[in-house]
Amino acid sequence: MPAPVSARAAARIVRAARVRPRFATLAVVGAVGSLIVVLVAIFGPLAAPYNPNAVSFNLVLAPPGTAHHLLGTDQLGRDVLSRMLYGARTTLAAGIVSTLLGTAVGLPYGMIAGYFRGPVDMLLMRIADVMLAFPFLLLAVGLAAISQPTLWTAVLALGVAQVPAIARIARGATLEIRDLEYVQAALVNGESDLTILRRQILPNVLRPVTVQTTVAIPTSIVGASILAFLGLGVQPPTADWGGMLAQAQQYLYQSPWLGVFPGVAIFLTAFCFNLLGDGITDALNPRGRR
Amino acid sequence: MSWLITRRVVIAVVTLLLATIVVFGAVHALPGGPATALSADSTDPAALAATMQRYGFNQPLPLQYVRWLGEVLSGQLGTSPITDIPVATQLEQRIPITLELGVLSLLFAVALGVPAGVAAAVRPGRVTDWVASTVALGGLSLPHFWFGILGILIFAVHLHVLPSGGFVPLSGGIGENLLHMVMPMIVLGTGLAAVIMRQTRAAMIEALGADFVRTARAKGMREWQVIWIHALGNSLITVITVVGLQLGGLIAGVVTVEEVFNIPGIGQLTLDSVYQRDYPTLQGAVLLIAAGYIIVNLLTDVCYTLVNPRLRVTVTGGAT
Repeated sequence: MPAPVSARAAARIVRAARVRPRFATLAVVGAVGSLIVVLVAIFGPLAAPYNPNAVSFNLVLAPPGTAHHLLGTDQLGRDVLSRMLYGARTTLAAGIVSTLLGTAVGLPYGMIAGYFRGPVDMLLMRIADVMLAFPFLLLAVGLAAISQPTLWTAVLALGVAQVPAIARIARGATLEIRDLEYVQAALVNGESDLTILRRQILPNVLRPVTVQTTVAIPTSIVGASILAFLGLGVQPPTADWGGMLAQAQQYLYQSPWLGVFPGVAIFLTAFCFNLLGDGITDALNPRGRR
Repeated sequence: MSWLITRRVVIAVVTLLLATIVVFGAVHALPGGPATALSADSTDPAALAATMQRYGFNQPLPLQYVRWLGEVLSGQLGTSPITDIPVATQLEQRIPITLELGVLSLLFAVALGVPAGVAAAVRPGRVTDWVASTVALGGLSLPHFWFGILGILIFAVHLHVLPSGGFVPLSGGIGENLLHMVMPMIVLGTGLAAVIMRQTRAAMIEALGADFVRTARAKGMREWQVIWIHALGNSLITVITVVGLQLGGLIAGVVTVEEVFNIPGIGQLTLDSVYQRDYPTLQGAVLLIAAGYIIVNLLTDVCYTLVNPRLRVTVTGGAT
């Protein structure tokens, strides 16, 4: 009986840490940073000093450090710190939910293609190829043309765009496993395709897919902020880092800080998740970068 | 091998055909159809009927699709109802601008990413590697549009050394043209440079551990020759493939960078046609981007087949 996956993964992380201490340190920094961002997204709004949409025309474009407004106020006198804290929730939710959506669709999609092979595989992978020809931005553009853009059309576009990549990985892993003896044994035992997919194939496909998923989260976070920036995602007045940057563009001359804080936040969040993703890739995929 | 390439070409053509169906279907999935959106200002049924008649929206969908496909194949993509300019003409005007931006960014990314990747791979795990890898990860995490805004803030608003945006055609002088392209090129190229650096590094580490490198060293070849000719030559295959696959990301970048720097390319045209609900133009622009992407993928695949001898003999099941 092999050790549970988590225990083996932990052992590998420790081993990787011994071989490449500098990179392991970075992975820990990334993990701590990501955790902080997630905590801010969950509890930040509770700590926010003001309502993020409370307008105050007496105090517009106040610089950072103004009394009671640590990060200053925007063009409508809204407290930037409060908007940043609320924005963390929107931006992070869009990034993580879309990645989960892409995995939830792509994982079974690729497993089915790899398991049944033949015409099913051919058909499913051609469809995936077509999807691959439409980057998430084009999907979002298409959705925005069909309906009003919202946070959810952005999440949908980002999620759908991730399906082909995850499906390909799941398909490849399934193809590797499906001819192994224990899968054949289960087949001979008369187990249904669904049971085999769930009990024999899924546990082995999860690892490479997890790697892809962790790597995809920071890309989705940046993607979500791009869509909000272009007006193809979250709409004002909802606080969102990308949306805040879009509005800041008109006030860069008077109030450059409006264009700095949300950008730094997006950058640091994506950076921490990328560091974490790299660490996980290293640990779970020993053949990868070393 | 020619069979393999023929097969790839056939697959690409099929994918392209499916893409036209997707683009057409998406526009026609609009609630009320594109006619309602085009005559959004009036609720007059007569005006609606006139629009339907003018653009042929009252015909059965498959017939409309075949007609549009005919227009696509003949190089005419319909006419924009907003500007009354043929879509093909608009695309023709903007393609060179986007291509210039894309090619310059790609050159910048290769010039930065390949040497950085090699430097990191020569002594993996050491300080150079650590710094280069961390900076690359930072490059991957940088949202284009914010990087662009920062650039404008620093170099245009404060230092006044570079223009804050816009585009000067080559007829306006090559110096001015390039000056306007410096910031967009760096902004768009940085993310790609990071990807290229990481791929070069991984491929180089593998190549430097291979037997042919040991042989080259044993023959007394100079170290720079071993690294830059033997190892890098073999690593580039992998790098080219991955870069080809990354071009989708570059396309998303083109749209944002053109928006931030106000460059009248394909990306801006696409966004504008969404905002103005200009469906023929949107159809044309989206199809053009998808086609470009499929063709780049095909070329990458073919190059890969040509340079990788193993693919010439074994033909595995599905195309991966």
